[in-house]
Amino acid sequence: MNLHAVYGLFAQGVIVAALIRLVRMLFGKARLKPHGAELWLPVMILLAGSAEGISLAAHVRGVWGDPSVVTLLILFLFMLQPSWLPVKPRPSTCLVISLPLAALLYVPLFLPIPTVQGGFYAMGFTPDRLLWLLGMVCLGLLIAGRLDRRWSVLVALALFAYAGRIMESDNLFDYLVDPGLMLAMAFLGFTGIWTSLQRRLKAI
Amino acid sequence: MRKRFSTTMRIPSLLLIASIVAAAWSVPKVAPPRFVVPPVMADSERAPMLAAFRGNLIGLGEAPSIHACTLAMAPDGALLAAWFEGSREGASDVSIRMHRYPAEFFGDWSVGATRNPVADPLNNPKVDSWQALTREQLQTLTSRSIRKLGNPVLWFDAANRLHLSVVSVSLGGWSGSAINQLVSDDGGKTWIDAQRMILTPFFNLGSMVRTQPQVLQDGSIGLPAYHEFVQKWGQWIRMTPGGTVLHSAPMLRYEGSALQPAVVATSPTDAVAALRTGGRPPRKVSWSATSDAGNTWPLRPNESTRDIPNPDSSVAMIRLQDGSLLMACNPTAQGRSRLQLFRSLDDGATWKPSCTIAASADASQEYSYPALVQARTGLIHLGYTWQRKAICLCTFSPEWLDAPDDGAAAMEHDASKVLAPAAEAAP
Repeated sequence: MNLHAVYGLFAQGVIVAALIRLVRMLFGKARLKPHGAELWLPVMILLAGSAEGISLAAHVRGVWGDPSVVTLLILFLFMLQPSWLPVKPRPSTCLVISLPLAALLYVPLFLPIPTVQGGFYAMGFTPDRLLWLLGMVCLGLLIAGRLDRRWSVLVALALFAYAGRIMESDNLFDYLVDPGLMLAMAFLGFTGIWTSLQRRLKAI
Repeated sequence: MRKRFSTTMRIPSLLLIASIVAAAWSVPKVAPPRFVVPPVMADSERAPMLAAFRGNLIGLGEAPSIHACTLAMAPDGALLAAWFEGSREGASDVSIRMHRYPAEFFGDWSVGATRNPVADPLNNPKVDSWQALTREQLQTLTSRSIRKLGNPVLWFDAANRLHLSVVSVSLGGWSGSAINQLVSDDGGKTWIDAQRMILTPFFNLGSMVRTQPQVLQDGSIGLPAYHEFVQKWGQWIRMTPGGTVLHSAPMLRYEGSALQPAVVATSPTDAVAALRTGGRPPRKVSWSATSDAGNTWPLRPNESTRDIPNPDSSVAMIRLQDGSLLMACNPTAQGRSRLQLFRSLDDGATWKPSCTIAASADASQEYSYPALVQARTGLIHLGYTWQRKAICLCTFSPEWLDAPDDGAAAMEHDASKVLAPAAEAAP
């Protein structure tokens, strides 16, 4: 088993654990507090259990593949250190606007529609220019005092993971974003907008 | 502000800068691509061969369904053939079967040889046949569930290491497929390394492969792939022999359904691609071309000079030692009941019909999915799906291509006729 498989299989355990917790939270049976057992139990079951000669995690992996490093870290925080999550239940206006915008941009830029996908996603295979751009953006945010330390750490860890190629993908984008993350961002952004609207309506 | 920055932002900022530097450092340094184009061999440089053709059904009776042959020449002159077989296409019991034909299997085709390789073939040919890859093996190798296997493509890298690119599906139909890269050091008996190629960000859905890759001058590989998720379109992937993707470029992304690109390099920077055409009829072979060794495929060659019907069926194309291009396809508006060769003497600008390989008046018969390869000796090998029951492996000399197409080699759907050697044409 190589490093890619270790990452992919472990990530499936974290995803399933996070989904279980999310469902329990929706039904009011769990609260947003650190709980290691809720994470490690599903991880162990998925890695140890097997069917058809492969682990249960490998079966789950076949369904949706590997998450990005950023997603995996967010799920990890969601399970073990929710206070460190980069998005609060009441996100800032900037995030409320930028999250759904990023998610909406993701669809045309990353969906495998030939008219758009060939150019943008392919840049991630040799991302010299993208990294320059990212460096400039980060520098700008740092100078402006708008660099979020939590997002900085998450992106930094994803970039280190890319440098070490711990995922199967050779594309930088796959370390930073994935459809699940974009869906969650869109959801958070739109619920943020909804909450904000409700507050204003109540004030009127 | 200064104090706040120093206490809360210093470490994250430094971490971010360090990570950007590390990521930039790890980006593969890619040299401009150049195709490997063997020099044109004049007729005087090789011994004349018999103008002959030989056809054999292989794999007949091994499985209810056999399809999608791929051919590769081993460094020792042996021919490797692989295809998928099982109870039906897309079934969970489909596996990859391989055959190995040593060079002596085909005999001596030179004019004046003591033994005619067509009329008097070897009685005891040493042909190896083995199950090269099963769904269960690929599951273990890639650490993920696999529901079915699809098209295999065999190829050798510049270091003469055998690779297998194979399509697999974990969920859903072919639009949910992905490409797996495997390496073998024992001629395909066992696969020691497997890697899933991640080519799309949307759950990596819809990537497939069917045709032979091109080896580039720096040792990297140009793999023609295609997508079937949302829309059908060709894709050129440049990668290291180890499977690291360096570049990807779309082919014919605006022209509707064009898939399974067969690519032939005509110069270090130029290549032409023939693609299977899906969508609504009338369908013709689609064409694309590059003039920057695959970085971009913006060229849409004039198709009026290459007007060849295509019934949504795979195309094979190679460059022969004499510099001409040879294509095998089903030149029919509907059905795959006729398989014919076409030849181009001007790097694919114009094509002339050559010999008919198989034909039937019954449109339900299938002779499809051709694969072509030329041995160093000059012999040309063609493999194709025969009625989904077997692979027909044909061998012929370049001289045979110049013989008039009098129908002598055209095979009916009768197995006994296929196995019978075709009449030798006059040189």
